[in-house]
Amino acid sequence: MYTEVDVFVSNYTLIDPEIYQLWIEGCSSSEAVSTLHQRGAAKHLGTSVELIASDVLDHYRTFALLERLLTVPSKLTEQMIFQLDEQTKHMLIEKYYDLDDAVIRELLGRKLSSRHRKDLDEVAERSGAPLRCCRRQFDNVRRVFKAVEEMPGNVVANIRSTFLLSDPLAKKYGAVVFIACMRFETAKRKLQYLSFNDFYHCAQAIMGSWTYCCTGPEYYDTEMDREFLLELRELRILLDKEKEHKHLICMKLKPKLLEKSYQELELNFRLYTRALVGLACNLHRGRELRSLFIDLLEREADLKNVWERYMRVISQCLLTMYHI
Amino acid sequence: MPGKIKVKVLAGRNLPVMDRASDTTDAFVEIKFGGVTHKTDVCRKSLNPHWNNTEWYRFEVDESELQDEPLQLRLMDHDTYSANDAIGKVVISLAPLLAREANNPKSTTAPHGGAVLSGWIPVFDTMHGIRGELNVIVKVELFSDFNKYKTSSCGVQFFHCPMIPPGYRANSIHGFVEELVVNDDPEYQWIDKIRTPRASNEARQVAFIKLSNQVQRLVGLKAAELGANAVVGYQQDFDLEGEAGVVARAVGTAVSITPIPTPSYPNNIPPCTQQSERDRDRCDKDKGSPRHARHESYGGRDPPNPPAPAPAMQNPSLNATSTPMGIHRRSSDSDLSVTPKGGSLNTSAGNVGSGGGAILRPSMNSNNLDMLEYPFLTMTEFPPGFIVHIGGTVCARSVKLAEGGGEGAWAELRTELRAHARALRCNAVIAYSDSAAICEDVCVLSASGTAAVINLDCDYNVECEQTPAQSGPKGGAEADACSAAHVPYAPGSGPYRAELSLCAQCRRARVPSVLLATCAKPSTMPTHGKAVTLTAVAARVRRAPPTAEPGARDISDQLPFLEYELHKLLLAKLRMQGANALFSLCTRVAVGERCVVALASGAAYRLRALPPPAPPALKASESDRDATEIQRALRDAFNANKAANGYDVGVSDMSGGGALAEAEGEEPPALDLCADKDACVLELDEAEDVETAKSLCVRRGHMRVYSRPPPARAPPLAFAQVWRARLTLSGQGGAASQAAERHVARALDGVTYKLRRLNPCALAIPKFQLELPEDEIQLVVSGTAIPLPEPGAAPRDLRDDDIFALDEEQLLRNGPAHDEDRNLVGQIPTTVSLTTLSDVSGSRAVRRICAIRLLFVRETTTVREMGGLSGFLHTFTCEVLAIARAHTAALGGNALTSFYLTQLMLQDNAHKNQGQCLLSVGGDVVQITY
Repeated sequence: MYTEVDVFVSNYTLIDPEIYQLWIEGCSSSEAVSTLHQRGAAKHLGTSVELIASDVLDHYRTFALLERLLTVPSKLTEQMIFQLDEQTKHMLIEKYYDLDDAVIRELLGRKLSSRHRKDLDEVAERSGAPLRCCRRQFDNVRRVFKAVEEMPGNVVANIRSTFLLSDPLAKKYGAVVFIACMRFETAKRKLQYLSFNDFYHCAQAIMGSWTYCCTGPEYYDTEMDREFLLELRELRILLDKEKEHKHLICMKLKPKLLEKSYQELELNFRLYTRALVGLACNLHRGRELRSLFIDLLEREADLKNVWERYMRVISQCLLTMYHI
Repeated sequence: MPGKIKVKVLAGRNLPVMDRASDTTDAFVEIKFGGVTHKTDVCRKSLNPHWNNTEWYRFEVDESELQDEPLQLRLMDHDTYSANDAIGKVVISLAPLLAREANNPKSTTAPHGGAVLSGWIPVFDTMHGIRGELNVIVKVELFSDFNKYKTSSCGVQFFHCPMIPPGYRANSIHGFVEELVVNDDPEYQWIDKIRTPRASNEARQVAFIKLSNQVQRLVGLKAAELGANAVVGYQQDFDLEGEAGVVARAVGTAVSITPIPTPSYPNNIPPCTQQSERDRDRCDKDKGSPRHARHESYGGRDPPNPPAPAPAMQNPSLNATSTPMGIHRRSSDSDLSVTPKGGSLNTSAGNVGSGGGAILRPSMNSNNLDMLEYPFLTMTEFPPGFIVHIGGTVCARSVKLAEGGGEGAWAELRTELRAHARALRCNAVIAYSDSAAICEDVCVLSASGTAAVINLDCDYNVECEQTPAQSGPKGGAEADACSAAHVPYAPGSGPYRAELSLCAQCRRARVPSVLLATCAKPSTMPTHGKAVTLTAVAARVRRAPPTAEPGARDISDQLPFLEYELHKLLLAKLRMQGANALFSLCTRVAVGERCVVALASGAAYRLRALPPPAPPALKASESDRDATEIQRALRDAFNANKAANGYDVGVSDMSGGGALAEAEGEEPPALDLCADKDACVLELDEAEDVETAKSLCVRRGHMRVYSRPPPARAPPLAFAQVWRARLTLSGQGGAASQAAERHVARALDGVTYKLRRLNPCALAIPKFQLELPEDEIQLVVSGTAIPLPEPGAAPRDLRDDDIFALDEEQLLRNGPAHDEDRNLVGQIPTTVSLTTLSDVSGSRAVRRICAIRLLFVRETTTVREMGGLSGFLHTFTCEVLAIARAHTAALGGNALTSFYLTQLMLQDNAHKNQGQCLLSVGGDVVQITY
């Protein structure tokens, strides 16, 4: 039966979460139809392909119209064309901005310019997600980045209020934006084994401790606390007073560690502290900062406050990165 | 008589970028009414402009101009060097404001400010669709005028609602009002060749709106002359006759109504208001018995009787009209010509506008009913006791060549209809409607209604008091209740053969074996089980060139056969459902270049009063195996349908004849079982009959019909399904019918499938529109789904297969609590409910504000980019619904009841990547609370 028009429109726009999910995942309408048909067949629903297709096409048309609005989520709440309840609106936005860990891992460290949009094939290939899906996420990340990059105040709060996202998702975007702002090196082969989640935790820790802690319009929490980084240089003194330091640490750790670990620590203490302190001293240099993760990997603790602040992050990063 | 319009434009938002260089827009608004135009300042470089000067733009105009002319706000982008660009328009008809102004002395609006329209309205461009919104305030102030010779009808309220609007008390029913206005279609004027598509579309849109307003004003004027203060059951239609112009037709029922004073209500529903009480006792009723929706019966459709003997017609009144019906060559009947031509229907115009309190006798009363030119009512639902007997459906059709107008033709049709009603010994035609189908220059005009004996002296406001008496199935009440099903004529009398039997309820009067009616089922009529929607399609291939005299003659020759086939199929389907009555029957005829198609739809019921339908039987020419199989399949389907619809239960409480008939039904299938019961026999002597019989065996999902169950779980969902596909016509009529039938079935399946997410829900009887553009079939199904509460308790509906199993579980988990609070929230502009019913179930209408009707023309030259014709139409329909919601909210309502969607005319030119579409929507603006 050749149909020219088959359109179903209702006063309250009906959104099927299942079909929306397929659309988000980048399925074409025919892929979505066959997927749904298979699922239906598995449940013995026996709905004809024709009906499913008609329904999917209705949805895909609606989604295509909604997509314009989803790029500016505040418009979705203001628009009058689709009558949607708050719950549905929230679901639409949340899913549209959803990040696929595999995809976002590939996107980390890439330049977020439109020129690179066409190079997403590689991302698609490596993450196993459809190209369309990668494009959506790339565009989303780029849009969020551009919107909040220059915005003063807490980056996560900015993302949450501008894009009406839930807290966990806004935090994810916050981490992505932060990593992009800092231009952390993440794409090196050696770091390939790290998942987005690992970087997420590291970034969270850094954002939590190393950026400007006072909030105010003139502070950007996508910037490192320069003064702190400079202060880190003073840690060099730890190397000079290595004996006292070692003694203190060993005293503290002895009851907590296994014998074997303790011995290992005692033996290599010099090595460890040198590596860590050396790193700390150099962090005020941009390049060193960017290659933080690499350095941590390749080499592997007043001044009390600075050290603790430094170590809070470093220990967290190390814990995460080594999946302990 | 003068009136004053005051307009203020406050702000705009989400405007499109008109100036590419700076990514902004320099917006200003031209406010135009009639020949006068005002302009706002230019708000520079903003996509969300605010016009700070808070001055009012004033227009002082004549009252009839107020009613006819729309107020046009045109949003423009200012360009210093080139011509200003149009962004889009907001077109506002003032009629809704006028009726309120005149009728709401106690309205909540400011005493001097008059009625107000205030809010964000989308800016619509015929080439680009919605482009931002404008925040406007429009006020109208009228100076009262008691001039006898006035040409306006400002005081008359209009409601599409096909009954006395809930919340109002009827003082009197004055009678039928109709009007017809012809004008040129701008699309066919010479100037159209030289203007831009945008200008052309806008001219057409405004011309149509003016025409629509004008015909409404004239209807109002007629109503006012009758002494009425409102028109209910208002229906308006456009016939696009191409070169011959466009005809705006309107019919309605003039009534005098007064709002029932509602005591100041807190947010809870006070038990004293009429509506809530009615709702409640409906619930009671529904709990008490498996009785269902209020719909009516169809006693005698009267298709022009085909020359063939009509053994298949069970319907007593069917043969009612053996007069040469509805054909243009009819010779004038002597008895038809004696109708009094007096214009005014009422003798007692004096009671108009009385403030309420005492119930006045209707001005259309039993004494003068006979004297009326057209004793017609366009309402479909009536207070109990109003309908005494239903005679059956009457219908008249005529074929004419378009030459603009056609008042004469309509008058003839109505006169004929009146004669049919008289022949059925009925004094009135209720649920009257008319329609026209046009192809090239050939028009088929149809008028139909239900012949009934009505009691104009009944108490219109009896509903709430009467119901307690009804709650139990008591003898007296029941007897009363079944009287509507009794035939108004004596057996054997009347101009036709009818098969009558004793009323199964009171056993005193005669009832037909099948009842078909265009009205809704009277609420008091007891039924078994639930109601289901039913459709039947018949098609015939045209044999002559489609235009001019030969085309018209061919159609008029074919119409009787078409009607006969349709009727036969409808009765067979009704029987297959185990039902014996069809209410809300609506028949659409569409004429295409190559074929004529008729589509009948309605709600099938199993009335207690009527005898139960016997299972269908086959009469095969030779007893072949095929026939036996079909017979078995038919019987299985029949029993399954009956069980599914709940028609097999409740039979036990019927005594005598009912039980007997049931016993009969349980006998093993045999080919000749019912051979003597001619009405239910299908003859298998033609190939297509076999096909028909086979298709009858297929059990389709029939959607359950909404029957005022307990309050809905969520707001109603109005929907529209547009289906357009190539109609392959191979071979003769039968094949064409089946092809058309398949399309209709497919469109309905689509609706059912897409509504599965709302399950459990019931469906208000959907409306169908059928067109045959070129060699395609276009079907618009519009209706409302009402989500029902308690998925566990509610009977399984929609379909019998388990598509919905999954959703049901989910709903159970969601629990009612969550829905509860959603319901309780008063609805504000963000959610405007649309429903095709006359009220929103579970809610109470605080204020019934006015009727609105909007019309849009949309064109695009980027059909492919929009996702094909479907994408274009999808976008357009969404936009139109959005604008309708915005108008509803701006007028102070939060629901649009009696919602309708018509005049969907879609044209496309694939080569130019261009598409054009016309669409009209409307309804009654109501403010509701839960």
